[in-house]
Amino acid sequence: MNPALSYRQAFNTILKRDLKIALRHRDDIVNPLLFFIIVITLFAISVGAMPNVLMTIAPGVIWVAALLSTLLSLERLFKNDYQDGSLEQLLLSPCPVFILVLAKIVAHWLVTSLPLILLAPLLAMMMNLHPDGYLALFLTLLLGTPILSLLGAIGVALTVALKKGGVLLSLLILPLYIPVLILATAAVEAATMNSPYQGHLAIIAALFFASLITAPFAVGAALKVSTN
Amino acid sequence: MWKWLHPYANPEVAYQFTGKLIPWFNGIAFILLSIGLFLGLAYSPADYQQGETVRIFYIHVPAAILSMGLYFAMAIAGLSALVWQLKLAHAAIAAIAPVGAAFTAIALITGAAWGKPMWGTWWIWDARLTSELILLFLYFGVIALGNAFEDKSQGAKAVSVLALVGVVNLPIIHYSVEWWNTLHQGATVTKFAAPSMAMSMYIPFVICFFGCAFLAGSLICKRFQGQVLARNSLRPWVKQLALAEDN
Amino acid sequence: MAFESFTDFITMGKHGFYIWLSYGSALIILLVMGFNSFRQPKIQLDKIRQRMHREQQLKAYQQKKAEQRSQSHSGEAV
Repeated sequence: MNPALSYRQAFNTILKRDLKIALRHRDDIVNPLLFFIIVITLFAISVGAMPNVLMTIAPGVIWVAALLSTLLSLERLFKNDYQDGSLEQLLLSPCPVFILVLAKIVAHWLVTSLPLILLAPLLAMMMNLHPDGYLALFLTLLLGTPILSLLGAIGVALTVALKKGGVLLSLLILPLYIPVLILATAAVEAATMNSPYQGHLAIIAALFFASLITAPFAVGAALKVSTN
Repeated sequence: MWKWLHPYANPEVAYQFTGKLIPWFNGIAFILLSIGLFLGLAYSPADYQQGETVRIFYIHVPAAILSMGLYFAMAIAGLSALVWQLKLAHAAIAAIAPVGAAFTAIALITGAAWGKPMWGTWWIWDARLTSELILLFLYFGVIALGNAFEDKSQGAKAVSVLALVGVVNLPIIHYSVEWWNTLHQGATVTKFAAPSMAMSMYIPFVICFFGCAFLAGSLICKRFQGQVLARNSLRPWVKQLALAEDN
Repeated sequence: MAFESFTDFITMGKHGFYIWLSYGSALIILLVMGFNSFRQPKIQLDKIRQRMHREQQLKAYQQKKAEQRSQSHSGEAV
């Protein structure tokens, strides 16, 4: 019986474990990305692929697609662990729940959102985004997608015990995503018009830190309810 | 105070107490709403800017205020359900959510009916209407989550967490939508640009608001009774009630 | 009084439709909600009574089964 792990050790253990599991299921990483690309393609085709139109809707479309593909991959966050019972074991461990939860969310973000951020410039090019908007898009995605993961984790934790959680999850979570969406698209739009967008970024960063501090506790409480 | 409140945490006492409240609430709501609507619809003068459409105000604004207020009330019930493990708070959340959703729907529909003569379209992405729409989604989320659980008390706890998360996010959503609206629409005419409401409008509004509030209270009490019965269905007093109803 | 006649009250200076539409829809929603809410306790009590009834039937059936079994056992023994 090893003595209690330090918080850092516990965090690292969970992080490594989740990353290892994710890398063994490559489909789970690739599929949301393909979804992201396909949604954007659909938008371009349905709107009519006129460069000017695409340019005006590009920030919104890219962000909505990123948001939906995050939502798609979120369900995996606790589902397998819940089904094989390891989630309950984690909750029973002496380590505070929020550290374990945070490690899982970070692992999830690294596996799903980071590739998406790296892919975004390519899609921004396809959507004919104004060159001035690239940096803003990158920064908003970098600060904004962790918020999506953190808030989404609350919804996943609430619905993990349910058989048909998928649609319910989007109903619970999408309204909470609205502030991030508004701020991020406004920032990218401001950047394309060559006006300052640091203010938007600062508010997104504030939301990020606020959710970083509070969301793990909410997730912990929700997981305790779900596992009963 | 705790000593005084304590008996009301007993489901049977709470059931009977709300049963006594309901006729009073109904009576007060009926009186206030008849006076308020008479004053608002027939007696108060038309607005010099908006004309007669201002009369929608007497139902739209009370509904909008109640829709927000009931969400806060639900979150408070959620907090007491999580912190003090109050079983009655579970019933209260399940009772409040549909009533709150109904008032949100009223605020949305009356807002749209106001928008048509004022702006020329039924729907405009006005900050207030957009916030109400998102609030409606939040209510639907709460109701759907509560219905999804087989185990009622587990569902109530999950709903409590969701209501608390929602109430923390509500101001953020509200202000971001407001800011987004000013960003995209420039200076639109806000509905209540008038700096101070005339007394002839203020009095019917206040009466209508309290009328609606008492009506909401009575609806919630009745639903609360139903929830209390459903959650205590194995208790002898509930069984007695069920048998008494039969005859 | 803000209106000269009853027709004035109904038409409300050309905006009558919108005003009565909003009050009418509010009334309908509240009526549906009220009807539904005031039936809630009764619905729950009906459910509880049904369940009690079912439990009683089940108990009676099991008792009958048990009696039959004991009778057939005693028959075999003889």
